[in-house]
Amino acid sequence: MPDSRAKTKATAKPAAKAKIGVYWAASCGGCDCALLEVNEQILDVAAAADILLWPCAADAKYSDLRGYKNGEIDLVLFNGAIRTEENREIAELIREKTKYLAAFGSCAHTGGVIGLANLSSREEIFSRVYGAEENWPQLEVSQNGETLHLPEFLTTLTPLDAVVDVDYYVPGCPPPAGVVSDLFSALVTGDLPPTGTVFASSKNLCDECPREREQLKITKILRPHEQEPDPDKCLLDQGFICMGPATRGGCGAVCPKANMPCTGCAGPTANIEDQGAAMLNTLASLVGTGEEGEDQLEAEDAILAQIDDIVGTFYRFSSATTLLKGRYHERNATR
Amino acid sequence: MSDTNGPFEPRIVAFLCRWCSYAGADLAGVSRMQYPPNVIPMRVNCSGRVDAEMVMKALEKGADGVLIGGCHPGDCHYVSGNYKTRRRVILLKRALSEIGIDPRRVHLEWISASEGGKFKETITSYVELIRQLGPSPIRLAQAEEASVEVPQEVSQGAVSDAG
Amino acid sequence: MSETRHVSIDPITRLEGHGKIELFLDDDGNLQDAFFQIPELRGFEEFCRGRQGEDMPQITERICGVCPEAHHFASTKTLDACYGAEPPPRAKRLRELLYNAYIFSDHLLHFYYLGGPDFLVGPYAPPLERNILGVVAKVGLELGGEVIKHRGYGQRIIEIVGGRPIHPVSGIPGGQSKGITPEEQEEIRAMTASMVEFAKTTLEIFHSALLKDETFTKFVSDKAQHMPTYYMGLVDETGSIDFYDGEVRIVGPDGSQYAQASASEVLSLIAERTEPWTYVKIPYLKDIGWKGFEAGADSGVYRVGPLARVNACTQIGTPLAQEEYEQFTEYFDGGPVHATFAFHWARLIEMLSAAERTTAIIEQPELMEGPLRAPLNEPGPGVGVIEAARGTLFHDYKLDSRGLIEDVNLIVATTHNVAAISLSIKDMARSVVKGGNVEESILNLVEMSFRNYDPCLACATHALPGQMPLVVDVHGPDGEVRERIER
Repeated sequence: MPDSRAKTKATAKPAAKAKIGVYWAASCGGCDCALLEVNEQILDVAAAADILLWPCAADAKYSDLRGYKNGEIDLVLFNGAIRTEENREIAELIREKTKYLAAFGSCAHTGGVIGLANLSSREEIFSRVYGAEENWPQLEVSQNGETLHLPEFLTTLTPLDAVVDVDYYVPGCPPPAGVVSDLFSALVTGDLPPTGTVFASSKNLCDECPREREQLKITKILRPHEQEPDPDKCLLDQGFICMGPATRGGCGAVCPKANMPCTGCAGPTANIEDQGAAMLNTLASLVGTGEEGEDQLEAEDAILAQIDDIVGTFYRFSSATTLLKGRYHERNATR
Repeated sequence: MSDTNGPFEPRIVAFLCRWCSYAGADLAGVSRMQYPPNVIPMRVNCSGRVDAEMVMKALEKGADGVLIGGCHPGDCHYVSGNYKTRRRVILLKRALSEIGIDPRRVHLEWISASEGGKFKETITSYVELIRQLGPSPIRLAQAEEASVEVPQEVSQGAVSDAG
Repeated sequence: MSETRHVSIDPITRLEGHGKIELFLDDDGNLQDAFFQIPELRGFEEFCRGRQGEDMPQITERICGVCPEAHHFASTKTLDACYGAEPPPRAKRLRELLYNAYIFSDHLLHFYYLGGPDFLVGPYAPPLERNILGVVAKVGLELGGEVIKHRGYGQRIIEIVGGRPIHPVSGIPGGQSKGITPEEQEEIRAMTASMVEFAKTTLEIFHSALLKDETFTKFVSDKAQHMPTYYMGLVDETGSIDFYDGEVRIVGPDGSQYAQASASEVLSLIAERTEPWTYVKIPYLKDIGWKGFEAGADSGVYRVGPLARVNACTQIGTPLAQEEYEQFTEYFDGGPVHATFAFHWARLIEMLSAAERTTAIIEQPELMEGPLRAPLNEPGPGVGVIEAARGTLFHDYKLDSRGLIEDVNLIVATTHNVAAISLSIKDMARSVVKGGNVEESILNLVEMSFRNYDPCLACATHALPGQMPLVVDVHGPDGEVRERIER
């Protein structure tokens, strides 16, 4: 898991023009667009750096990537999770070709929303998508005397650092423009921070959220469409499950400002290993009737029963990096 | 603690609060009550200290079951720690269910300092329950990855009872 | 005799998503076969089950970060239907405002950043220059700055109305989570006026840099790049293009209406097939049938997206864009227009129309007053449809009594186009790959054929069997179809 403690001082001070790359593994493309949210600053980046790889926006191919010397690229911003064999292979290739590698965005950082796929087996996913097994795509197909290949869909999705060493983490789904801007500024001036740096606040979201906190007991759980929130008060106080306490800040708390709870996209703060577990603890502490006692237990149970989807709510972006990864099956299922 | 040969022997981690349940365990021991040896006791100051991450860590490290012992409602040395534990365990059990783990692999019991007998009964029946459930699927998945055998044969355990 | 037998374009670039093109050449070095393969899959349709319905706008928008607004509001509209909740006018105007800003922004992105550079910089320019930076270098910093600024305007409107510029959060069943302040309205008003002007400027650039340049027009007029297919798009009650809502209209290659119906009715007109060499599935019009990768009135292949929408509508719906559309149809001697490279022009007509719509919506008083949410009924099944920049997008949910997802069905814009894209790639490869010449610029021409469609391949690999029949062809070793299995 990432933390902000420096490991080594970065020595890559880009002389002349730096060389950078951007790559997407199992990705939605949002992180690539996030790089454009800095608007005109992208021109400063282009002036200071040559972009040697960026499939979304430029024409370098895998053959070009293979042709670069090891360590030739100064920094690669790698977004997306490792879902297929191709993702893994290219991650390893990129690791060789670049001096510094940043896990950019939630999928590369903690596996992202698509980590929820680990709750199903590959067979279950393929059955749902393609139906019967004879319809499933094949790794190798002979067609009219020619052979076509597809990369294997790995049985478990992982974040980037499960397959290669990562130098920087840029959390967020996607990382906010302010963070990207800071990263670009550091790149342009040649002042990359020490490796191991996480480009986000070390404090949780509550620290920057403008809503008023009274730290009331949560006497009922509300889903966002069940009631219009008071725009000024803490969402948790009102009973909406907001992942703020267990989530890194640095995004400006834009979701609570839009009257929607934080969903945890920036991943956990440094001292938390399991984001969902941390939030479960928080919620368990906050839920209550206002009094504690043996006569309140039934009422407390009733409040807790109002939470409908634990994994989707508490582990939306971090299911691939929870302590208990994936989905299990009890052999002796006797209930 | 468990054989690599022979039938499956459950491995249970028990988080016991110092003021009540750990004292109860002590009492069971001093009174020479017999109970299965499958439990690793961990003393904590309060059952409220036990959080979801700790329990998950125990399961991740190969525990087949996790037992939490706390004071009876109203008796918590720190007033309300045990209430928080209780709510945490409810949510944690649901989380475990959602990922396919039998929620009974986490169990919360109120055991006071004077309840040596209750301690013995709790351990005995919990070990038996876990014996019936079999090894934790987490442990099995890890073993499969490491190509290690885990005994899975579920049989009746022999427990001698002098109490 | 040519030595080259097999060339891979891997990965294809300047689009959203993962793809590769495999070209196989015969003994003379001419094209024998071409395959468009999508090597990615993430499985949303599986892990969305069990989720809370109201979380779906934020979960499904992670199917695509280039068009998250499309999924966000297709999902939100589906939830409106699931809860039997008609959003109040203020919420609808807010959604429409954001949505048209999104269409403007996404189309701008394609013309200047993705597909456009092939013509703005040139298809034979060095590969490292065929991108937005090359465009800026070519057109100069002032115009380049305007490009960036106006994309920023579109994104800023999404941010104000939706909470975030990428992956907005404001869509809830029956409404929007927040409104906009008068200051924000003022800020948006200024931006929308500028967006219209910039869309006009972009069309001027299109006319001078593309339409007057033989590099572009030869592809437009090349019959090998004409594909007479069916076309699908949303229209409102006047037959105008509507990006946000309406009925689905499908017209045939001759322009006659094939169908006009609600989303759920249209879903039953579509079937899908799989091929073992790609992770994407291939929809076609069921009643016409699958005749292979070919076009024409007898083939169930159909297209969506800008060209399809301008073909499926009877008018654009906004005055300036309508003028441009009339020039467009005159250029092609009437519609429907089958020239695939005309997608670029149709896209800019839509970019202008979307900008015009934002200027109208920002002035509407109901945008600024009234409730943001409608009361909800008990949850049940629902279907939502919207026009993503790249084409018609359907979401279809079954919610249980607690409002959790029991079942999910999605047909995502680019998926509809997969057959047509495969066909375009093959047609172009057949035209340009000759005598074993597979140098880089020739391969880029092949890629230009798919860039017309502005594909989003992360989107394309998310489509469900749902209630659609599935057809599989089993090929024998000689390539002939031995057996057809239908579900």
